[in-house]
Amino acid sequence: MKSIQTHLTIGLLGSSLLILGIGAAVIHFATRTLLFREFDSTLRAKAMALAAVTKVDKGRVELDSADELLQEFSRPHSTDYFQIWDSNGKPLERSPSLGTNDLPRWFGTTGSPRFWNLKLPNGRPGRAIGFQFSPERNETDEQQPSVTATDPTVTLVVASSLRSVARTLDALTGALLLAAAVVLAGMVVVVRLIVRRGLAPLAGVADHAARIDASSLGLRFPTDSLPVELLPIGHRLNDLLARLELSFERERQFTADAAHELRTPIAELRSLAEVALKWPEGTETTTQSFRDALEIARKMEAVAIGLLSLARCEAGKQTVRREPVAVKELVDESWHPLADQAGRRQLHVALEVPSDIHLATDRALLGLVLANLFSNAVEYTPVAGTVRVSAEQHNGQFRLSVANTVDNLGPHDLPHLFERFWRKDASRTSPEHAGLGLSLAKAFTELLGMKIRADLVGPDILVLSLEARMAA
Amino acid sequence: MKVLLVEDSKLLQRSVGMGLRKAGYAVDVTGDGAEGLWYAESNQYDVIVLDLMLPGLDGLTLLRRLRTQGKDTHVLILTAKDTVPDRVRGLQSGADDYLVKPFALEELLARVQALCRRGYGRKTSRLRIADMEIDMAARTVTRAGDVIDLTAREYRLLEYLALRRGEVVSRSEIEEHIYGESVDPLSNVVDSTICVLRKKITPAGQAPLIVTKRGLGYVMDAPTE
Repeated sequence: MKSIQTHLTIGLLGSSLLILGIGAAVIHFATRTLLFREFDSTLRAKAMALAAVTKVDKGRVELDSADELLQEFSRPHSTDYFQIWDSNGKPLERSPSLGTNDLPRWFGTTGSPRFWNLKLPNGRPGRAIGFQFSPERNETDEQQPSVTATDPTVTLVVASSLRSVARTLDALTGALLLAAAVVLAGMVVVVRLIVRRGLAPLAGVADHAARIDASSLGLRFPTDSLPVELLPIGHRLNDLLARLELSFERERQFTADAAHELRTPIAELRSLAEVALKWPEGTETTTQSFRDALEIARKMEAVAIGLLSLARCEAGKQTVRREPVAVKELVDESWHPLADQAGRRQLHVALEVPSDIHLATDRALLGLVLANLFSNAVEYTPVAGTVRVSAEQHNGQFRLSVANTVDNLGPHDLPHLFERFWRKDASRTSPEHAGLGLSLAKAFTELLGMKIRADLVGPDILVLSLEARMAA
Repeated sequence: MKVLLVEDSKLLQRSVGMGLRKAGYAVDVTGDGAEGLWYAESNQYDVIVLDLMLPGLDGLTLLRRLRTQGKDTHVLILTAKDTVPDRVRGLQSGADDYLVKPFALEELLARVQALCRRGYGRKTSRLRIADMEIDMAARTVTRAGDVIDLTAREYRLLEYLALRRGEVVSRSEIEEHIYGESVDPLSNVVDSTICVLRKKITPAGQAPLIVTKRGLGYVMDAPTE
């Protein structure tokens, strides 16, 4: 499993190791360069000293064997070597430490001698300096100028063991490795601590998330205490929780509403069946029982269809297909199924919708809205009351009103009109009216981008209005 | 036993009303809260079965008004409201029992019967007078171990008199509790039923358990030695 903490720890330690390695290499290189420069300088001083004791006496090149310098090259196990050649490459002198061995005859000038590394006769690594020069005349040749054009030119190569340099560099390498190991060990602890502390807010978010379940969707991530980097995540999670909570609440409401509204018809069906079974009666009673069962079924069907439509609407699963709709035609069409019922209730009906109003809307959904508004008006208008449907279009605004007389509705009832299952007097006179009609009308209206409102005009006229801004 | 059913569902009115009648209760039915209150104020019921969501007047208001008036008729609330706060509110408003829809008819009848018994200070479903035993749950009557065959109405009358053992029960009370509104005030249906019942439950040579108090009514009790 991936771990941010492990990933960060390994990354930071790896990077530190690399930086430490590069640093150590730079230190090592700089020190080595410095040491070689020092070594070369010493080597050059030795060579120059040898050159100084090299004299020409009567045309012959000689070394002042009494010089202390030559003692250095004569000690047993000496790691310093030199060799002198004449201009023809014929060896003239060599240090006792060289034995019968030769040094490579490479050379520069005294002003710019040549340095190089080599393997010494004793098999150890060493460094050499080589240059050509003209030795001074011996004091006995005082009548001659110190150096003339005819003076012999010799080549001097001096070599010395790099042992001291190698020792110093080995010690430095050891010190650097030790320091790197100590720093690395310290960093393992420090980096883990820093990473853990840095990721603490993330662990806090994880702990908080673990406490959230279906029963505690009201909890939110504390964005005040979150670091800037986690703030967008906190906000998005809180938005997600809010949406989940709303969705769960809708589900709970749906279940509660369905359970509550289905209790009575189920009770009716159950008691009907129990009575019919316990006290069987004649054919007439049986027929009545079936009629009752059918009525109950229609009631339950109305509740189920209404609730499912609302749930679909609230879940955003109801599609809207807009098309040009002639409002008068749709009003007439939606009123038609209720005309007989309105006639039986002796309602005075006026449909006053101009024929030139057209809306770009979903014909089927608007038809359902109108059917619910009209059905509500026909059902709840007192016998011989008035229902007036009107529509107008003005300054790009569309408004359709359904006004009907009412006898027991007060201003305090208006906010409840669009609530699910709200009934003024809890009456269940009609099985088709499950108390969902106006809730559905409101849900569909909002889906169509319209507004619906309820007003009381005077004490006994209820006006339900649809309002919409018409497309340009 | 007389029961008032206040329920706005016409279908429940029919089925529960029928169930109660078949179980031997005199039943008045209404679907309106205001009318239910009027019924309850005007009659002496053993039990009122009351819905809460009613047109006219809601069930809880009806109940509170009854209790305010000092009416202590046992009330069983029958409603779709099933939450604990709903039940608590119903019982605190003066209800004696609470049953949530949907319900088993048998349970409703048993609860109504229990409330009726409680109205007469009885805790068990068995009544014993002399060597006669009435099982109100099984609706059977035995005397000295012999089963007595009674019609539904005879049984209801016997049970009512037995529950009011030792009390003088007037003819009008019997009419009201056993026959409801169906009895003709001028008929002698109560007298004739008492007569038949007395014969059925009194073995030859033994003193009757039901005694007529002329001008007052009837008393049921074990015969004094």
